[in-house]
Amino acid sequence: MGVGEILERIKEEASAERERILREAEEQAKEILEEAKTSLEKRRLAVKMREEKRGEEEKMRIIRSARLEARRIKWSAEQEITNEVFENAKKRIKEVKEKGFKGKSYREILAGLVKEAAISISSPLTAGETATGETAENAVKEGKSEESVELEVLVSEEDANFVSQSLLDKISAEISKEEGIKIHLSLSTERIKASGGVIVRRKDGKVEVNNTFEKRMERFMPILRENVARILWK
Amino acid sequence: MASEVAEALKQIRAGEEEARRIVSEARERAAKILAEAEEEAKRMSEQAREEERRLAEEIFQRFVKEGEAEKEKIIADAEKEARALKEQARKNEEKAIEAVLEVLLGFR
Repeated sequence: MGVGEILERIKEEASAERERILREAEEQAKEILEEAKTSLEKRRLAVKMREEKRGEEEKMRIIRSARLEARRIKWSAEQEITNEVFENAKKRIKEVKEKGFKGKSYREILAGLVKEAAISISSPLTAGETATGETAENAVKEGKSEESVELEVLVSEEDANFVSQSLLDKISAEISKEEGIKIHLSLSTERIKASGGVIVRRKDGKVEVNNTFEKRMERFMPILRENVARILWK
Repeated sequence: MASEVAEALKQIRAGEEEARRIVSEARERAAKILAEAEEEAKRMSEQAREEERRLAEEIFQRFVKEGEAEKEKIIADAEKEARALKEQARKNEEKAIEAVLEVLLGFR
């Protein structure tokens, strides 16, 4: 083999080695880029899934909040009308005092409230709570049931004109006859602050029934609200 | 003869030197190709991060928009229902007032 051939051989081998190195580098570079693309595609998909989940949760949060707000809007409308009914009922009391209600004069209405309270205080079966915790039942057990139970009626200055002693005597007589309880009702000189109604209390002040409109409203409020709602939206 | 051999060896060494240079240059070029590929992959990744941020925002906002649209509908329906509730109640309001008065005044 001559020098020329050797040199040619060396040159060929070097060229082949160069081609191999470059080819391998190109292949590796291609792999690097392919891997990068695959990785990016996976990342994009992960972002899409993550954001869809986050977005769906946010959407549901907005909807839940809207549903709560919707309930509040409807509840608020119901409360508005219900409160309006109670306010109008209170305003109507002035008219009741002048014109009566359902065929009854205000005097008769007060008489009914006095009678109801007086029976409640005097009946041994109806244990009304006293200011000191004593009950009407106890009061009767004390031996006072044989005697006439002394009760006084308290009204507002405005309502004092509607209650006379003769009316109270008539109520006392009715209770005695109907319930078999001896009571004596008298109008107290003490006046109460109320839009109307009465307070009936034992003279010793231990037992009382508050039948003012404010107290009745408070006492019957849960059932009144139920009834009003049923009537309004039946 | 000796000088011819020496000349031949010299030529061969030069040829080998040239071969090493060719291979060395090829390796340098290969390293550059790989570095460029790594650089391109890095650039693609950075560019993708910005696109992913935009995609994330776009997807999230699409759901928020859907939620807001649903919210508007729910609230509008509720307001409509509230108006209907009030209208219906107004028709029965007088009866309700009377029912309250009946209790307050001791009718029942």
